[in-house]
Amino acid sequence: MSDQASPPDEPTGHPSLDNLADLDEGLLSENRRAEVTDHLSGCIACRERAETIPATRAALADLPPVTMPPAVRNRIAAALAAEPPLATTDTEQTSEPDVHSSTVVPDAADIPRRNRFGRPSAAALAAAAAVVLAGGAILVGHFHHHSSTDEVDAAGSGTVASPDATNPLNLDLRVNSYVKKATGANYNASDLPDLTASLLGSSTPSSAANGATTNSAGSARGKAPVAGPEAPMAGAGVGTATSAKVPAALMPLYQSRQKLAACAFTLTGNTNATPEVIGFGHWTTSGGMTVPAAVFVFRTNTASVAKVFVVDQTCSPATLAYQEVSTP
Amino acid sequence: MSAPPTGDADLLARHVNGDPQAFNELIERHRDRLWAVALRTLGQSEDAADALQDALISAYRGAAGFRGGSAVTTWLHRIVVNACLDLARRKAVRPTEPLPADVTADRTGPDALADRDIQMSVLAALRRLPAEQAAAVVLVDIEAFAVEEAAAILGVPSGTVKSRCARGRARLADHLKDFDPRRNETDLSRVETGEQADSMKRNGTQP
Repeated sequence: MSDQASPPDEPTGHPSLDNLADLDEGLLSENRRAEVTDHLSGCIACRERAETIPATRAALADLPPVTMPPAVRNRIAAALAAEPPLATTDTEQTSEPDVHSSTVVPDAADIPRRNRFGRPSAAALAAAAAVVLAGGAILVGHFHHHSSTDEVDAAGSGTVASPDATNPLNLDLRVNSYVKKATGANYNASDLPDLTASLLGSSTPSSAANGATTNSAGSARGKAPVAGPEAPMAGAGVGTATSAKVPAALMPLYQSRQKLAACAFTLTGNTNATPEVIGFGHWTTSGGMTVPAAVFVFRTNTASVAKVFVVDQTCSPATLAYQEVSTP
Repeated sequence: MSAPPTGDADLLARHVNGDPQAFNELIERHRDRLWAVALRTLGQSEDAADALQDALISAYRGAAGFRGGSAVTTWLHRIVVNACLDLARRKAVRPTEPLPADVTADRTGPDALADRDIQMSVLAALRRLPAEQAAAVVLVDIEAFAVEEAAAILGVPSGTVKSRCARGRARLADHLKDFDPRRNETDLSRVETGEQADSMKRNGTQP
């Protein structure tokens, strides 16, 4: 792997320090490792040079810990003291009225470089307005409008990315629209896989728009069927639970695309992460309490794996539940 | 939610919910380590203080962005290291001033002088590395982060961390032979007699 990266042997035929450092770190190919090791067995000078690598590591490890000097400490304390406590009102521009705001929206300019909100233009906000369907139980929404002038991660522009620090959950960042659904009865941790399957099964835009069937519709073996569109869907599991309602406590979250976007960001740390579907219902905790809860289902870059967060109506970072769920 | 020790994630959550003391308490816990990372990556305390201040304000404001999938310290270190690398890129030149006295701690004991020399040498050499290599070496070799966690902090694959560490160590080792009077410089072009030359010929290690 590093044979290309490592500079070649010095003209004298001895391995370079880079080679020796790669050897020490286990980065050499099997062939190269054998070559270098073989050379070392016959070359005292190079063995001594090779020894400088672990010696350097030891010198680094041996550095004494440092303490922050008082002057720096005071300066930072003063800067933080000048910050207001985290606001409870949304700071991002939006055309939606803000009644109960209890989630925090970080200001775009202050988010660490890699996570920057693309500020939607007014036209984009209008274009992304939720689509209300017959029955009203499913709403499709968009968090962002990605324009070419927005600075977004490459992963958000359509390519499948591998997990890294900006996307450690390996979420499929190509998802750019979400579906909101009232889930009906109470769910607990053991129901999450089935709940996820039924939420995902009826979440594709085509199924939402014209009632086309999806393969997971029939696999909802859970306690109560998930509310679907008025158009009939095949599969015994999904019934016509159009009476499923969004709990009152969740309505502020449910109604605010911006709050939902902020919540997705809170959960994932990535402004390009859009859940595939968000369920609104009640959750029974392991302690036996039943609370209003929203279930955020995120697709990952692994086709059969979804990552599911259950949050309360404030989208507290102390989530009610988090599971990696295998999807059909 | 009472008495017992509060975890980092709990403190951060309290901060997000408006607790005015929680962030300070969180930073107090990790203050010295974050300072060590900034100082040794940038090699200069004024720069380190600037970067660290920017980073902590950013973390303060963006705390709702912590998603709970990693340790809070990983998240904090990521913000700090990013701020350091940003500053290093903006300044574009690695520091050339002499090391300030505060980058090393004083030690007593018979080898104190030699140890201090080596420490100064290591830190001086570290300041000459490209910032990204320095950051990798600081995290893995000085602060003893596991490679995987350093990868999460730096936002690169583990293999890249290992590669940057190897390159950094090689450069440091090279510099240290200039600084350390006890280390003999080996002129390899003159290694031609006896065992070495014979074995080279036998093993066919000519390029």
